[in-house]
Amino acid sequence: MKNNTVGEVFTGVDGLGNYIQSLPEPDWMRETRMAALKRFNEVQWPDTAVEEWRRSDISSYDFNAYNMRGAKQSAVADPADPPKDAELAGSIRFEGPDAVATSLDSELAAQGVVFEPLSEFVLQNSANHSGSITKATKAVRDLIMDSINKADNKLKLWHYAGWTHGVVLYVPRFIEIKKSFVLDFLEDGDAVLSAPQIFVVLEEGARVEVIQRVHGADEGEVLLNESVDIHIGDGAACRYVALHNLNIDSSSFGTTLARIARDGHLHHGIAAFGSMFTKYRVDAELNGPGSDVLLDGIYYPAEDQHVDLRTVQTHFAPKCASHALYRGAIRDEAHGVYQGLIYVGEEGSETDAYLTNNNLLLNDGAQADSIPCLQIHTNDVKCSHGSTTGKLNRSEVFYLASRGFSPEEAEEILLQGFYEPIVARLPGAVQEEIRELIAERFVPVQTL
Amino acid sequence: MEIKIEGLEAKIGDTPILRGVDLTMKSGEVHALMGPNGSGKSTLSNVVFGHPSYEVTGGRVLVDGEDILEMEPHERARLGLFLAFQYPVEISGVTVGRFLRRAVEIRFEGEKEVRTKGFLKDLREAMDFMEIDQQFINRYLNEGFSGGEKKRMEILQMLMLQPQFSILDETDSGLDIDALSVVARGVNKLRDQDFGALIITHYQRILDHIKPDYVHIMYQGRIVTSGGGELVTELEKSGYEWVREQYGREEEVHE
Repeated sequence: MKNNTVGEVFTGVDGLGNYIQSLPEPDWMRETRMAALKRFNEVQWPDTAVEEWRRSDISSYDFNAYNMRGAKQSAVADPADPPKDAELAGSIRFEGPDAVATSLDSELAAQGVVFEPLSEFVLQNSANHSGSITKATKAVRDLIMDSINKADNKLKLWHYAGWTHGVVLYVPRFIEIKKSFVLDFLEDGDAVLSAPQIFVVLEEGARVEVIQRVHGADEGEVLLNESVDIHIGDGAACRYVALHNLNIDSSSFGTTLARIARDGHLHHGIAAFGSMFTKYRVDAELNGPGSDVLLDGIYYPAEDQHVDLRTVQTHFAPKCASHALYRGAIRDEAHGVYQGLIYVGEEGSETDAYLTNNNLLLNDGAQADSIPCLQIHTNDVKCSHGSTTGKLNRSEVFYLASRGFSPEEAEEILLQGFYEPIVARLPGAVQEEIRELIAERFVPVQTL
Repeated sequence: MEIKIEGLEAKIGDTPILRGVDLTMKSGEVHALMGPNGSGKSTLSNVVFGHPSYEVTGGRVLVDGEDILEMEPHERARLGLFLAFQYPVEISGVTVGRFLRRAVEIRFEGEKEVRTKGFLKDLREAMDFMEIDQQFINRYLNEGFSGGEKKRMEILQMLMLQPQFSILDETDSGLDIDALSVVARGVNKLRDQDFGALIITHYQRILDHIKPDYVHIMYQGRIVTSGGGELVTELEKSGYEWVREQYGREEEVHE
């Protein structure tokens, strides 16, 4: 196996061209990077004149200050290793851009499921491979080009030009996988750009559940710029939950774009806890009739954290349903922003779509902006949005106190309860972890 | 347990509501507190539990000789006091089962092992007794419950927490006769030497099911008269008009 130039480091923006040339990738991938780079060079960084970025000012970032390097190929464990955890369909663990452990259930591998680190997948494409790999390669390339064509900001184009590592999960027709895939990213280092790229491709009738966990080392500033591309074929179903918890010096940018074909299902969840600055966008395109989407979001910013989450429910086909529910409790001087768009194209008759955003302001300095938006270009639709911003309900605290709960415990129970309708419908494997993260961040209101 | 309320005065904002309430109650006794709307009955229950919206301006509330007015609401509850709310709040995201398990743990902290071991069995029995479907264990507390279901849930909590003294604030209001008898059954089940209750009500109806030992009538923020069951009969016959005539204070009547 060829190794790329391990140890060679490139600066985030100016070194992009050299970085691309240094990678031992086949032409089809390099071409996508160059296509992204071309558009990257043509557009400006998003500024606050653009509505989507109006509340998230990135003008103080010096994106040249972050270094990147590609993944080591040699560090990858033998994929033939049986999964360490029999409860999982497969798992990949990254430390920085390097995949340090990877596993895939051998039965699934035999059925043509592809699950491997992206850089390895891209390299293998030049060798002999099975039918699944060919299909997966084509799907990956199509997804990249689609995302580049649709990219409306420079950060996303930067990502496609310079992604550093990632994962491919390809599930052939009618393979239904009950166990979860787990993707662990441990981001490490200082002034480091990490740009992971994840592909989930489900052929017709396939079913899969993916848990992505992004954790950071305690110290060191990481700039995360991730992208997740999902293709859900006819009647296929995907559950994808991302848990982001980088350290407080880091920043998280990212997008998820899911394309859902006829009768396909998507349940997407994001729990954004870490990072000083988060700007994340989840797009769901309902391209086939009868498809449906559920978008869940949890955020709990504290101190000076800024979390800006956006969902887009795009109805390009009739008889589709999409629901978004985002909830955030905000304390200290933190700022939570949620922007939700329901877009129904002319083809989107009999759409059933709504979005809900609930914010809890835990003290006076905390700030929440909730911006729901509907754009509807056809009749015969059911679309609505609702947003609330309030404080912790003192009557509820008193009620719990009358049952013996201390004010601190009452508030914690109410805060957990605020998130619980979302948490309880996420995959069991992440529920406890999210509840614990909420508990760790909890501070009683009296002390704020 | 003995609860001794002495000269209790309280206001909400600038409006005085309680104007010197005197009342002594003990475990083993069931008291009824009646009176027209706006006489201060619900305020009394809220003030006893330390609701933050009310400001106490005078008097004492002694529980076994100790003034509880400086205590936090949860500390008062932990003495063995219970309040069945007139309008129980909805606690979204917290299931009945989880909420009650923790409440029972808190109530019986010293004997946690014993009490929590058979918790689910006890809960199921109590739910059967209160004719509450077991599926409610996994529902969020009071969320989407009907008025009657919320009231039954209050009594279910009371059965599980076994207070020494319970204040039931208009638990009967809005209940049909079947629900009322179930609620009364719950109260009567606890009735013994170690349990006392103050039943706050506007109507005599619930008192047909729970026979009080003492009846008090509240008007304009004071208990104006006390007696036995015959007071209920009197109210049934003549309504509250005679209370106004006999005990109303012109100078304090405000619209």
